[in-house]
Amino acid sequence: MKGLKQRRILLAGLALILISNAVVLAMAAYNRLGEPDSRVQLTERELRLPPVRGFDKENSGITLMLRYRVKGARDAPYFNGRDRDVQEPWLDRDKLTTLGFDLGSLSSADDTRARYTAWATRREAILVLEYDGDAYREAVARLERQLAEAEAASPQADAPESRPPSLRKQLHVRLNTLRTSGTRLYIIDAGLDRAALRRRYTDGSRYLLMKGTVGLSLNSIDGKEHALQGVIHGLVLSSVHVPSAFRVQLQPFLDKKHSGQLDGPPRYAVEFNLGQRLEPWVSGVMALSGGGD
Amino acid sequence: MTLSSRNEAQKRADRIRAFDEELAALDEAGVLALDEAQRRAIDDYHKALLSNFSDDFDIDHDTRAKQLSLGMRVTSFLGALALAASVFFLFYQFWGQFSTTLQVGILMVASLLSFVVTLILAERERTGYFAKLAALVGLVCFALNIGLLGQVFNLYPSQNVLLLWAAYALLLAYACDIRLLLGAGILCFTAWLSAQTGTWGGVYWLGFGQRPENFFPAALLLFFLPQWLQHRRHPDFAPVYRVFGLLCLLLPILVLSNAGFISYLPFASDTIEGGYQLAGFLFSAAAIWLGIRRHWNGTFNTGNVFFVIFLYTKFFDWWWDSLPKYLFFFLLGLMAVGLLLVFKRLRAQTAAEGVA
Repeated sequence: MKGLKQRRILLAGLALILISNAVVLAMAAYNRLGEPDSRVQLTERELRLPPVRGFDKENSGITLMLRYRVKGARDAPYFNGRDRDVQEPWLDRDKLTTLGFDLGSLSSADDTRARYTAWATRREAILVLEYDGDAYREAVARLERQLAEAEAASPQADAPESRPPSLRKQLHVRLNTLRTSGTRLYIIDAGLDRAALRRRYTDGSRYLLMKGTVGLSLNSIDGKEHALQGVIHGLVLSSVHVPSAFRVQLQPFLDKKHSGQLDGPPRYAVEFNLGQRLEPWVSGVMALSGGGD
Repeated sequence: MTLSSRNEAQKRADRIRAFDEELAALDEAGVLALDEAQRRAIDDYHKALLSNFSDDFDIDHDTRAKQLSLGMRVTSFLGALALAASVFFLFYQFWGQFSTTLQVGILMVASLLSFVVTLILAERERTGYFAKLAALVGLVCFALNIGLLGQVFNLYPSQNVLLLWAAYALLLAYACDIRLLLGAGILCFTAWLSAQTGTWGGVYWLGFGQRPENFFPAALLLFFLPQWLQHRRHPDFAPVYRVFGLLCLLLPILVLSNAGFISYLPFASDTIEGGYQLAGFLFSAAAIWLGIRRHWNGTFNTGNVFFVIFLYTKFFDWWWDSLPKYLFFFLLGLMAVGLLLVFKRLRAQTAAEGVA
């Protein structure tokens, strides 16, 4: 009787382990089946080596962090939570309603409840990322306009070591960063229907569809009205594992202590793919010589 | 009488020792003196019983052995944690240098091997310490197996991973009679069910903790599971389920009784807080009553702790700002004395019922 029980437990455990692994591998295989949904060559501007901190020194696995921004958000080197509040109207009430948010319930709730409900309500959606497109060019143009206005306001050159740096100097640095090392990936849309999004954004080499989360932000104005804003909380997967086969190409950059910041032109390019399940994988890494694009 | 676990055998051995000590005291007091034949019959029976227990379960014969066993349990747990951490960092250090195929192979083999080793140790080792150690390492290997595969292939995280971990932990817990793994399995299952409940409300699964009511279905299931599933071979498991069930119920109620605005319910925050405060008192009192009635120590203690917490929280709301602090704490102390008197009366009543 005891032997029979032990045998059942052994079989159950082996089955659980083998079936779990089979399911995971099947999901991965299905994702890479057929033509990728998107295939694009990104550079170090969009896929950065993460900063080495703490236990990371002992981690031999290579992961690249996806750098992106949200269209219309405040200027920042990359998405870091500060450009969650979208200023542009693309994430408006209609869009939020199509994403499944019940905005009506928020208007009837008291202030604290409404704020918490807005904060706690986070929904999964498919985000559209545009690569090196209009959103990036608009961001560059916006900074160029701001710099021109700052130069017109104070035409005299700054003292080299002036502290704090003038607005003109700050804008100059930010513009230069955006042109040479800033990411060109911008979240420009969101939806629940993948097929509909792909029909609208047909070019898989320019528009990436990835899962992300969207939420709400509710700010009161003078303690009276609620200003409802959509919030992009970010991509569900903001990093991608690099197979060891491409370790050699990235090795020169791994040996140096890196902080995760890019101070100059990108040093490598990555073949980035998104499959049937919109999950990413890397199929190639190339070193860029002399500061590639 | 067939005993299925070391705990049951140890309890029986402890009762035998207590019986011997009480018999000696009765003999000394002149209340009861057994004749030689009776004494020999009892001694022979107990000796045979204890010998069987030693062979089958390696029980503790005296207080010193018990203390050493406790030390072994603590050492076993710490050793398991250290070995599990070692396995984790071993993977961390070297896995990036292996090809994808080798990574998958190593992860699967580690899971399978650790599982088989655990079962072998559980079968052959009477004390269970090494089996517990191996089981914890096995759980870490399986968690790493699934977790790292997800990372290698960049899969979107899913709450279903928690269900897999729960299934594995529970399987090992029942196979090796380990309450620690039962607790780990229950935690993973609770997280999965709460995340699933959150997604039914349309919210992303990782946000399940932001609405404490997501834990109520798990509370219900865990508390009543021992009623539906008899644990004859694992009598120590039922209390674990009940305590976790109560925690999944009373902790969220405690939070909601102070922050009604985070509830799903479409009422005013004050109304929700009042309702949950009342529910907190009722449920914790019910747990105390049930614990006394059914001799469920864990249920009684958990209900007791939360009843006091709810009471003190209420006193804080009423009096913290309006009373001088010395008076506030004096009243708390008085309340504790009052509760002691109530429990004393309850105990006396229970003793009287027992005698009757």
